[in-house]
Amino acid sequence: MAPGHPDLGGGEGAQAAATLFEGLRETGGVHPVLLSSIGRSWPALFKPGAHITAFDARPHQYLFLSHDIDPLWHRNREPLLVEAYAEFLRLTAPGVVHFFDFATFGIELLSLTRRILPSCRIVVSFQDALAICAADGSLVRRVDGTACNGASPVRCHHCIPERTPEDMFLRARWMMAHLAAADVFIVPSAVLRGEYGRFGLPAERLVQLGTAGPPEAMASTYLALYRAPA
Amino acid sequence: MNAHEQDPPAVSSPASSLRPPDFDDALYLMLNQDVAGAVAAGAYASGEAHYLAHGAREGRRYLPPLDEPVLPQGPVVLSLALVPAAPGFTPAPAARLMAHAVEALRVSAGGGVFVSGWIDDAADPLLELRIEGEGWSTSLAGGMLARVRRRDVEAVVSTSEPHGFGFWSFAELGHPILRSRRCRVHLRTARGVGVALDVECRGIGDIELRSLVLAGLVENDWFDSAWTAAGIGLDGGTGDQIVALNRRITAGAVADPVVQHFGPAGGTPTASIIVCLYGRPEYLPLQCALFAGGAGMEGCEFVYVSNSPDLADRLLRDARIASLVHGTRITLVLLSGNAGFAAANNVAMRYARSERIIICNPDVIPLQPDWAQRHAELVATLPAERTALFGLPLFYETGALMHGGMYFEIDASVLTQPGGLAARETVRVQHYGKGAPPDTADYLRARPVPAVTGAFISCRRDVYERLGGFNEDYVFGHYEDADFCLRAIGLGITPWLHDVRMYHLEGQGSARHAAQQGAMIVNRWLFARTWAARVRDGLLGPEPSHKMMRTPAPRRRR
Repeated sequence: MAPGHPDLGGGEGAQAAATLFEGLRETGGVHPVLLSSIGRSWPALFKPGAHITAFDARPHQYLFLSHDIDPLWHRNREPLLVEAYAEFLRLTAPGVVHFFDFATFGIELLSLTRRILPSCRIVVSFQDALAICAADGSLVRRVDGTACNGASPVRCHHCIPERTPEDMFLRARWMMAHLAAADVFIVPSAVLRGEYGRFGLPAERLVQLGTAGPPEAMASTYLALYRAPA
Repeated sequence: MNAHEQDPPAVSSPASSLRPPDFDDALYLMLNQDVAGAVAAGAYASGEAHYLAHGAREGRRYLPPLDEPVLPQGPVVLSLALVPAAPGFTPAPAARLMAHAVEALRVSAGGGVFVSGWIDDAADPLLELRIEGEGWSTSLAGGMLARVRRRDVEAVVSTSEPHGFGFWSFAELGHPILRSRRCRVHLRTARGVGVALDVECRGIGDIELRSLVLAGLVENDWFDSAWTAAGIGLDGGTGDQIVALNRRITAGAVADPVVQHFGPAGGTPTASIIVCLYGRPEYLPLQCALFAGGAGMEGCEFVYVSNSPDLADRLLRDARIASLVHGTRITLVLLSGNAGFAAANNVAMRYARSERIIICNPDVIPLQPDWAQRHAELVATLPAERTALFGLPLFYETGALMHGGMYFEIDASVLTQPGGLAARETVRVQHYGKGAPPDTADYLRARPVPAVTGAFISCRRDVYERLGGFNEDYVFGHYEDADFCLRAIGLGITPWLHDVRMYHLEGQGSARHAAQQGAMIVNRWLFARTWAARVRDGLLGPEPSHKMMRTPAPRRRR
């Protein structure tokens, strides 16, 4: 589950997902599928009536035609897209679903994945602190530009006054409710590992891993993670 | 009837005996061409003859239809004319003209009439204000005619004595009426001086009229506290009229709701969670997500009812997604207008399938993930009388207790007004432990309480039905929960509090607009009028003496 595709100008997450896909494809006994979300910046790739569609005739690569994602709750508000994703899961029946992003898919797809595929392993890679911090996941306080040393309903309201402390409290619980569906969380740094630990994610499910490297190495590393006992 | 048909035998009815004061024969014939033809053919002597015999009863127009005239801004002082006094009143020899103005006259097609203005009646008090429209009239007198302060008039009149020069009233006629461009307004004083005015009349929708009247309760310049003064004003009859108007609007809003079901339909749910949405649609997916997955939730269904028609499409989409994501049965009831808390819950109840009904606010979420299982265990194991109707401790997101049951206090206030003092009582609903530390055992322990908040009420379906649901007289929302519990006590059903914990994210929210504040005044007035005596009878204070409030010895059903 990639936030974009490198061939369409995607960022680090898109590159990491594509590299991993490439490495896994060369690994025996593994059948990876790449689902890249793209937004309205590529309207020509949106097929009328389709919500998930093949990408450029490339085997096992698909586009998730994303739109109408709520910017605060990172919630997908298009039922047809959510239903298409559920159908996609049923058709592909993966043993592992790895989210390199939730913001362009909608975070409730984590819970939906767990409900459709109760025994699959769900992995989430965080690129930033978006689940914790409504200020674009930066953990930098908008009021004075200093590093945030701890999100809380009141501190987040101080940073984003148009949102009440109750909203911020709800946002944190909303995120946690869906993240609870995941088995493993991958963070790129010790700092983010600490932040997500303080946020409430179980320490034993937080794994620090880099997202760069050749395809084979990435495939080897992530396969070991996918196959590790729960 | 066809204007050319033979006259039927004369029938005595109010309509057939009245000739409207502003009836104009030529205008009537112009507006009713078939009557004009009948008069020309000799079937009737005149248009008036037809109107008195048939036209009034048939609802025929004698004034042009309303086309929403634009009223001039600011006060309108109308010309003055002495008219013959009403029968039975002898004008005093010294009767003189009084300066006055009818500044606003609003009429809704459903039968609501609002009027406001002022009169210099310090020497000869205004006794009655009578409004006559096309085929209808209403008399506003005594308590129905609220008097308010008008500082602008005081400045012109140069009075040293405080006097309520302003008048303000609302009447709900109880039947649809024709709205016309002008109405006749009669002012009559205690000395018998009568003044008749032709007043431009503006048509208004029922909902806008309700807002206008409710806002008036707050925005009028009363002589003292608006809460007290407006409450006293409502006693005179206006309060009942506002309740009647609100009832009419509510009935329209709940008629023919759009109902959609999402998710699995099979089986009878263990509990139906009814949630009335107040305009923030995102609460639906948020609440579903935060309830989902907890032990015991698999047997529950949600019934969401929306008071905001503009959110219907959004809610349909969100309910569809939430049901798919969580596998939850969701019923969405979409109303055509804001029916308020009581009526919305009552209509949603029709679509709940469980014998256990939970009324829940959209901003209530579990503090304990297994709350549903705990709730089900309480219902299964406790004596039935302790779970017939109960609430839970609710907590703020700050960790402090928000609600540990409710009790009642009575406050007295005195209003200084022209003519002396007026005393008034209000019943204040208090939450046990509001703001208390989270583990304050006294507020958390299971016990009978006078009332529980409507933010979370669990009750048996038969109890809800026996009570007839929430009282729909309250406007928008507030006090229905306490009213519900007091009615239950009246039937021998004790409200309980049991220790299963939830969050209630009750916040300050956006500022209440004047109509909402006015609704609060009406509700407070209504609640006090209905329940003050009952509350005083053993249900007063945080430790009420009522026999049903005594905590029985602990015991389990099994």
